[in-house]
Amino acid sequence: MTPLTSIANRVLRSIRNFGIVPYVNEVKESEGNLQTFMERWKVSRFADDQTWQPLVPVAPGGLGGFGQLLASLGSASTEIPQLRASEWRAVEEAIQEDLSPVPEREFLINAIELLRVGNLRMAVMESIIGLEIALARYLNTYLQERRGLSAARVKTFINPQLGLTDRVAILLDLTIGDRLKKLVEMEDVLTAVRMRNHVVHKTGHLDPNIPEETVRKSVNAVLMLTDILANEWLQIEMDPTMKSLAEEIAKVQGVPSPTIRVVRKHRILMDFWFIGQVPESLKLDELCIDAGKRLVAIDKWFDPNEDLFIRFEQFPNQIIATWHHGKLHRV
Amino acid sequence: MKVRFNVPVAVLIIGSSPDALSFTTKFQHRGFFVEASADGDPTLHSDQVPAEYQHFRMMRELVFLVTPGEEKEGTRIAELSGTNRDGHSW
Repeated sequence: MTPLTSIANRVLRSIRNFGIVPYVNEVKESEGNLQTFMERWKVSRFADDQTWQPLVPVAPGGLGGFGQLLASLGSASTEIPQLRASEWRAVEEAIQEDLSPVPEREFLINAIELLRVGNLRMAVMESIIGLEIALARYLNTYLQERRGLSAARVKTFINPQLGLTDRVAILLDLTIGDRLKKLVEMEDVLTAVRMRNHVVHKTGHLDPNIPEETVRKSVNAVLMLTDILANEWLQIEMDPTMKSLAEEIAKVQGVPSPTIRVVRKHRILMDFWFIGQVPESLKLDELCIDAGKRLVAIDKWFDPNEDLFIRFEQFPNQIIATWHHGKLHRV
Repeated sequence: MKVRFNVPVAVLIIGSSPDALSFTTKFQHRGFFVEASADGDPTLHSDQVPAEYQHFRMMRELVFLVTPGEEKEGTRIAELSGTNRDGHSW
């Protein structure tokens, strides 16, 4: 692969996987179409006479043969990909850090793409593969870190004999909190698992009696659960770092140690809980700014103005102030 | 010596303000300095949709500006494009 293609693919890959933009795909280069890409991409060099000169002169008549086909393919998509501008930051981080997406993210994007073009069978398959990856990683980490099981014990417990239905219906149900259970319809997830099993173990196709709406709803539930498990795994992974940070803040600021939750990548929810009065000398806004700086020191892509949400609560359950969008809001 | 190329990619970008829709970034890739930006149609606006989606525009292409590192630039230019100096594929 030429560096030009490699450079383009680094950006295209980041837009697709980190901006969550189906239909934006990496360029596949082969010897036969190199010339076509050079023409189509209008590759030019800044010459000695201070002008841009095409590196490969375009043949008279413009793109021919394969080039025309390629160009028409590029414009024939009936679905216009959309990117929310709020995702630019994630895209930029991925480009600059040359990040690879976690495997389930690629399956998630594929599933969204397949849903949109109506390839429901493949959407089910891709979404379930993504779920299996995220679930295995979450359960392994959860059982070791939160339940203190040894790696060997987890390995004997979570083995290929334990089917996906059991993992979701029993094991996951026991480990995931009520708050998260409310976010996703587990029965829809199990429906998707059954559909996948029907394809793999019975006919190779989806059961034609299942309405399209049911398939779509089930796949969406799987994608939602996959995303939740990826974030839960991240939270567990970040536990030691956040615990140290909480102790540091408590010590420096003379406040109770906060609860710090990694809601999703870069997104932090911090809870301070006071028994009795909040000391009058305590400057809450300065505390928040300090917490933001400490988080930036841990994660350079963290933006306190966008990513930090802090709650100050007083016993028993009175919220006295919140911090978000870089400002303190007294209640 | 700089090399420029444009990769066609049609994406509708939606956001809460016109400024949020533009994109430029810089990075290093295998010894090359790269500046990438999104180019396309002018920004449009609609107040018939939620605030976070009121501004939108079509990105038509990604524009890349590539500057080789310190190595001999002739070699680097050829390496970049996968062509020899006559413009033919290796």
